[in-house]
Amino acid sequence: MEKILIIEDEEPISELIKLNLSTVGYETLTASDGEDGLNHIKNGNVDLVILDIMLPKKDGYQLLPFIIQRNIPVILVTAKDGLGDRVKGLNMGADDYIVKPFEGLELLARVRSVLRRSGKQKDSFNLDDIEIFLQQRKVLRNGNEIILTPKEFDLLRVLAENRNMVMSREKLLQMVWDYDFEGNTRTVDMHIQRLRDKLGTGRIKTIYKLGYRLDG
Amino acid sequence: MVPAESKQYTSLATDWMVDMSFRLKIFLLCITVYILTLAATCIVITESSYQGLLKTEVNRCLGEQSSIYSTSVLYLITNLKQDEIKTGIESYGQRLVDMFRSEDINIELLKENGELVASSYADSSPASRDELDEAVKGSRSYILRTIGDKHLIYISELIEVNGQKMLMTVIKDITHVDRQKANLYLFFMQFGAVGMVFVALITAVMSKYVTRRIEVLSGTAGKIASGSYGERVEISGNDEIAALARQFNTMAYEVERRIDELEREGERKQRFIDNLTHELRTPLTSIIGYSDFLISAKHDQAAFHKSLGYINSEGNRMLIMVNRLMEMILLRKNGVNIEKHKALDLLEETAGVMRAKAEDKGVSLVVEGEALEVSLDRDMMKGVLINLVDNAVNASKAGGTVTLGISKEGRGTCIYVKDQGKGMEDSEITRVLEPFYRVDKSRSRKQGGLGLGLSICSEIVKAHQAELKIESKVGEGTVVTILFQNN
Repeated sequence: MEKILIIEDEEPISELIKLNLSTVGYETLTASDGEDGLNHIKNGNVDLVILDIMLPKKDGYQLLPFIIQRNIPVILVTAKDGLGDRVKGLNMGADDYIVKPFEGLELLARVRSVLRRSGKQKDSFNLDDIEIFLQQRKVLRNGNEIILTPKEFDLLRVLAENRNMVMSREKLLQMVWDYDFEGNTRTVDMHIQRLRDKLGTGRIKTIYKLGYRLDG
Repeated sequence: MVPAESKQYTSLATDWMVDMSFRLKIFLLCITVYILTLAATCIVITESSYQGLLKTEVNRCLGEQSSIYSTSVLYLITNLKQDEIKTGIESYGQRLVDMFRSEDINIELLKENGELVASSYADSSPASRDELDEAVKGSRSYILRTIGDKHLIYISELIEVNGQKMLMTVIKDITHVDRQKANLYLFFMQFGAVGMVFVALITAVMSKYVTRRIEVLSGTAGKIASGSYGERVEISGNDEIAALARQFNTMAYEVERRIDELEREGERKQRFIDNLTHELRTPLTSIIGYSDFLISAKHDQAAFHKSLGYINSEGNRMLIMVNRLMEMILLRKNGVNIEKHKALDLLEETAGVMRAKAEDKGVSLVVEGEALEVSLDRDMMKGVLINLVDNAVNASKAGGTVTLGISKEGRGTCIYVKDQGKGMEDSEITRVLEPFYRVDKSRSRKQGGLGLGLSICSEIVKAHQAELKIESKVGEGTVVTILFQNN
């Protein structure tokens, strides 16, 4: 899995990011100050850095050039929602930013999109005997292709990318169908049902009152 | 609403004197003074010299007349003696007139009753002849007359020979004296005109010099008004404008200082708000983030406990922070309860509270100083001292000493906390009293610090009308002094 370095001095925040990332299967490393972070970057094989701006010893702005030099994508964590901070970070070459407080799903979405843009995202997922190829939009079970409609595939992809996280019906509608309204959640239920039948797996769980979750 | 700028400041604003430029005023004033002075001088000098000339001329005429008179009398006496026919003196009249008349002298002879005997004066004489009335009485008399464009002197005297009387009047033209006066006036006017050119030139230059400095002042005032508060006037000298410029500079300095102060105050407030937002957002991020994680993510027992632990501890952090901020607000509102206390006892007590922590770190805690009484709020000041000693111990290395002391300082008393710890940069000293500021962010947070301790201490000290001073050198240590005045 992709290895993500978290440079954040506030332990609760650092742990929170780590928990969210490891739940969907990313490998994580943590550093609590600028120098520690720099050592990890120099030594380790890191795919993405999540970087706080306000850090002891060396701040985020000082670290940015070293990280970008090594072609590692960076997401800034900024407490201030001041435009200046973000613009400065993005101008210096950061790929994206998140503002505290942030939602777990938002963090994951940004991490995924930055990894995809930088070409560091893994192209396939494995679920027991099922293999999902994102690029080719193909699903194989024991080498035999399972035919899915485009919407069914997108639904599977979203669930797989956010595995172990509960996805509400509204969220799924928004992410798969691009709808932004709360009606028509029946559509989601129907597609989930069809997906379960086609894949023949019990891993897509209904979480009472909350939504669906793909356990992986 | 009428904007303040449109207010009419003076009713003189439309007066022509006010509308005229200052330079023109100076110019006109100088020219006016010059003309008046010159005119006065010209009139006084000309008139007085004219009077002098006239007097000399009159005296000369009188002399001439008396010689004519005495010659005439002598002539008449001689002729009358030899005259056997005994004719009257009137018959000699025409001869006398012919004898003495000249270009500018005319002789007129009258009988005592005013009847003309002989005269060389062709023009008409005035009807009233006051000088004749005087002469008839026996004394010589003269009068000055202006007839047409001529200035004449009439000198009359009674001739009495052998009991016969005749009035002799010498009329002399003295117009040349007037011409001299006119010439003098003309001279003054020519001289004045030339002088005027010079005065105008000098005044123009002078007024330019004077007003240039006013223009400099007004230009600088304009720049300051448009926001360059650092502008100053450079004017040398000791006159009123230089004094105005100095006053102006003093004012500009004061304005700049106050604006700087306001800006700094504004920045401080902005920083407080930024910091407060940050400090509130950090625990909130944890609380919301972990609860969100627990709701939506599949988690194991360990992650569950970890998340709940963070939610709990960060919630408590926020509570402490809110309490601290309330303390600050209440302190500002309610003030302190000040009484006289033995300071040394307070120091010992503080040291007692902190000794255990200091010894854990291998730092020795020393109390020193005189037995003095200080007016203070005991509980609050104890809190301040515990905070200061705590900071000092945190900054110290094992083997170091933290000194808690009291001494007299001028008219006041000071309580100080001194350490041999790592010290601070000057830039940090100015900011440590600000709410939420932490010298070492990560370390202080791990120890549960909020960055509010010193700013609350500072508020308490301020409420005592005392002063909190921090001196520090990197690597040598820090001394925090609380200076109580008027003890």
